[in-house]
Amino acid sequence: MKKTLLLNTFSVQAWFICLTILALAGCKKEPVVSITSSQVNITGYLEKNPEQFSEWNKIVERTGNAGFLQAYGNYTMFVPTNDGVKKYLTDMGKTSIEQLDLEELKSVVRFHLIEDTLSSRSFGDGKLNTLTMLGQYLITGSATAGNFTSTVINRQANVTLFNVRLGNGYVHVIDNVLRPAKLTLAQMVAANPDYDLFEEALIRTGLYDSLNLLPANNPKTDQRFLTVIAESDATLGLVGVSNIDQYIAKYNSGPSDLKSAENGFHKYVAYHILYDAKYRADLASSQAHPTLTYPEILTAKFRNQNVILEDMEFNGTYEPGVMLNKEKSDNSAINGVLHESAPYSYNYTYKNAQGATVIATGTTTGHFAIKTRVPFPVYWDVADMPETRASGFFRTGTSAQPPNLFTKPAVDSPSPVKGWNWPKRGDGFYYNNGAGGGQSAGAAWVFRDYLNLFLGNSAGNARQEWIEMKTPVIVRGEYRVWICYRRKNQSGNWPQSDGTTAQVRIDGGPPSPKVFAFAEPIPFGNTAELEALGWKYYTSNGNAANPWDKVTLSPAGAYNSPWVAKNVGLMKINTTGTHTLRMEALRNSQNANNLDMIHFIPKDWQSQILPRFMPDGTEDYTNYPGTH
Amino acid sequence: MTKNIKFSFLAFILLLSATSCNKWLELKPQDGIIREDFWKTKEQLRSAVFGAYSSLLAVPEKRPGLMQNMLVWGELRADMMGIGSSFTNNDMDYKNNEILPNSVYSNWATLYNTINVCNTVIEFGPTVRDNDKTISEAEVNEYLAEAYGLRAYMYFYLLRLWGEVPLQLKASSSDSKIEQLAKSSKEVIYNQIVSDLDFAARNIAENYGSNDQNKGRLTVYGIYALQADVYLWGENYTECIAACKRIEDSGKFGLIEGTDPELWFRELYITGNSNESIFEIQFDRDSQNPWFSLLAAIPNRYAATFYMDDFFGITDPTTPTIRDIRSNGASYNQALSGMLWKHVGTNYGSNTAVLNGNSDHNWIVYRYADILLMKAEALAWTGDGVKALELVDIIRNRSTPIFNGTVETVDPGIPYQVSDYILKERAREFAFEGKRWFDLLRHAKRKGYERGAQVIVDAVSKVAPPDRAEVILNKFKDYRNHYLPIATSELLADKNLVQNPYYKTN
Repeated sequence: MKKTLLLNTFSVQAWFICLTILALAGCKKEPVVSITSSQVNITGYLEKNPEQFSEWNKIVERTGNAGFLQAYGNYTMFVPTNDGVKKYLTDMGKTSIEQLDLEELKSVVRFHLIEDTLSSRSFGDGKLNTLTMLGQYLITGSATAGNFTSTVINRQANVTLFNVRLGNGYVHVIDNVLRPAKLTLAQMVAANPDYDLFEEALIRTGLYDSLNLLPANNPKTDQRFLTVIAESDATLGLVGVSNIDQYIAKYNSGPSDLKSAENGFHKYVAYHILYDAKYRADLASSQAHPTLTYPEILTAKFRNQNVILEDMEFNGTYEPGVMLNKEKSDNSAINGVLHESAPYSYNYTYKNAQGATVIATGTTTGHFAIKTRVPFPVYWDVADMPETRASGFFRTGTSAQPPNLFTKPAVDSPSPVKGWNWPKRGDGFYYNNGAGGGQSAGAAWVFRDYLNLFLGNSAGNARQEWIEMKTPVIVRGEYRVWICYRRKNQSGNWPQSDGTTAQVRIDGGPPSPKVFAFAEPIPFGNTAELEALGWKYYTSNGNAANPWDKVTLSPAGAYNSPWVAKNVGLMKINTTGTHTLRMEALRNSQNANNLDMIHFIPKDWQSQILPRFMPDGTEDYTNYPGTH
Repeated sequence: MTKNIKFSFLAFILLLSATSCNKWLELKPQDGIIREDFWKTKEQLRSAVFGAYSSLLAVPEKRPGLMQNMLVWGELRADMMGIGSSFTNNDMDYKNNEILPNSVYSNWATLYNTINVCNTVIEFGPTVRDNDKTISEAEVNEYLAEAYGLRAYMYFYLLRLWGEVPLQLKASSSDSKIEQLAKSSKEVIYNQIVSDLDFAARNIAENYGSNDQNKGRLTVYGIYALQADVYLWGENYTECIAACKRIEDSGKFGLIEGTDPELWFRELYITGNSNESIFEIQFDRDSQNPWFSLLAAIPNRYAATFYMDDFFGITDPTTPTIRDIRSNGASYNQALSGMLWKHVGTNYGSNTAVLNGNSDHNWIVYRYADILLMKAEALAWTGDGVKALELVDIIRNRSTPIFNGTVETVDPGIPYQVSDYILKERAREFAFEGKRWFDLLRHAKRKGYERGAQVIVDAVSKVAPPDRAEVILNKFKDYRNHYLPIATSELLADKNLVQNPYYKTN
């Protein structure tokens, strides 16, 4: 048969022509692109795998979502397997999808959908940062059973297959149907028999209603999602509260109307409500959280895998906080998250005001309230930070050792000092030691060290326009802020040359009322006159006859370089805690900006002048009147 | 006749068009050398073995080279090295214990690339004697032993990173030789490593005549060091101690003194190939390491975490010179955002990092300190805690003779106490040398995970970000997570491979 064909002349020729064409064409075989993508979309994926997803596909179709999931877009869908849907039906007491309420089914499907492409990379300990199409957050987590760990979505389903990349997004396969929250925060508190007192407190203060709004209906846009930290009846029992009257009496103050924001009990309850939906992971990743009691903040820490609230080392004392109960927290409501506070067993080492090491141990009750704290002065040695302590020559007091440079290799490098920062790449400051405590070059004052700030504001200059510093804990209140520096002209003479003129700003608030310059000399005068002018000598050597280096002016018009402090005015600290102080250069620039301390002294404190500080850091409360 | 002409013409065209595609008339390439012409002289054998070493430095397109992989695999999942300011998603995921099969670090190609070069030497090297009678069988075996040693070194990485991997012992010298292999068990891989090292130890040279070659090529001591490490991993402590002892007894190695930290840093890390060193991967100005661009260039990719004090202790401010010389200024540089100083520093304690053009610190694979601490660990588990602690003290006395911020009192009779202390000492001694993760895993998996994954969980809990700490740590509690996923590209290429069951992806 084959032979006859080949012998046919026509066939033979055609055969060769075909072969030739083939051979020629074989060199460059261009694939013809007729479709834009070979990937299927989400609906296509469900249809292609009926043995796994036929039930869910039916639900998607029945709720009218199949259409847009077939179109292009960016979606993430959690897809329950057929077994998962079966479990859901059993829980609902139904035998088929058709028996389920269509409206409810619609919200269930929207709860599985996110308008964003989220791979497993986004799955942490808390909520996914994009809302589901239902308008509720989904949380991710992990669970370990035996030696096997699985990723859990909304505490309801395990992921069995991650990251199926499709034309219009990601699918993650899960083994159960996710169920949206049906209760508001208020309803959730009410539904829990452990929270009877807290529920009553919410009702009496009117906050119950604020917590009972659906996000879409909430006129206050910043309160659409809230976080409630409830105290259980058992916890309140530990502090002697067993009925609502005792509860109210404990904090009642101010206006008698409990619904007034100024009432003490109202403030106490509102202090348990935070803005935004904050799961444990969200609380742990930020230190301060605004509460509905303006301007009080709730502080949070992450210690030994637990979220600890209101735990603070403070003015040489330690105040143990409360813990979030892991099992009873992270409950999703329609409009936020509900947590429960719990006792905290602490074991904490710190240094007290006398510098002695103290180990504090004990257990708190889990009850917490706004702490009223009286402002106290903070004499901040700016050169004292973990990074300078680790430099290897901290407070060694001799100028012979090299200064330690803190520099940023790039604009976007993390700062070499935690909590500090500056805008440009390059040097931020030197940590300098200095001998003795005089005014000569290389000398230093408090603890015989200081920071040499590369601060300046001149066009084209590499110095930093600002340097942000992390303060110690300062109590909410109003303070006079004193900048303690070495008056120094790197070149030229004051006032023609002002070194670097700067101002300070706290937490991005308004600038200090007054500015200061690193070359600016203290005026002549006695202590009282200087205080009236907003100046002081903050140093002391203990010698009553000549307790500090005074300012002098040479006939040639040059000032000497004593350590002085200028009051840059009254500044408000809005919250109790650590703050960011930004020193901003306003004009000119020099390298020799030597900063020793910053004093925050409450405006009505008994003295803005005393104590003065000796080179070894001890405080000198002796008053040295006169001009010296 | 016409038909014949037509026929010839068509045939001619066919011929022409066919040859234009691939020159099948010319069998041998004109611009290269083929296998039949190679493997003829001992020089060729020697250059093939050198090729195996230089394959360690190869950097594939779009993927990290072996050096970067060794740093990342050895450090990034653990608690000492963090990511700097110019990291990639793959870095972030690796740090967050969210390792996907499409991650560049899930790709083992760099390891198998060197394995293939070694396999080629092992397969064709013996044929050299057919042509070159000036080389003796023993000499051929010396070269083969280097290939066996390097192959074992590569499989040791595969074993510790993936656990079960395909065991390829034949050269893939042409496309037709590519095989679809299934994974072999950990035992099979381990036994192959042990037998490769046995061959190497019997045949390899002790001395290549120059210091650079003795440190830059595997000598018998390099093989002993590998044996010690492999046996320690396999919990065969007697053999580990024996291997360490062979190195000690040679009397050829010692610790660089730490009394002058500047000198110590220069000898050990900058100049390299020191008396302490046993095997180093060599870099010089002409072939530089990747550390300038990854660690010193701005912005940097990896840096020390903020928790170095937990390892090196806190120096008392009143006595600043009493400190661990391995801390700030040697292993890392705090003032430069935690740069990994032993890889990029130009001086002990200085603030000047290497520049583009002089990043040439060697990668130290094994040094004498490692031998002492591996031996100590093996001794701790064979009832000789006292001797183990003496060895730890030798290491400590070199670096922290007076500083006692990290000294611990341990009961020499309790192996876990002693070996946990050794683990901490290893963290200080080999900070950022690509060993930390393997150390943690070795301690965790000891005696069939007798203590669960606690060692790893405790270490990583410090550095895990609060918003995903639970996920990161819970994953470690699943032991299958301790081994990497097989890369998607490998699964597609080899249908016999099965994904590590922990990684539920497709």
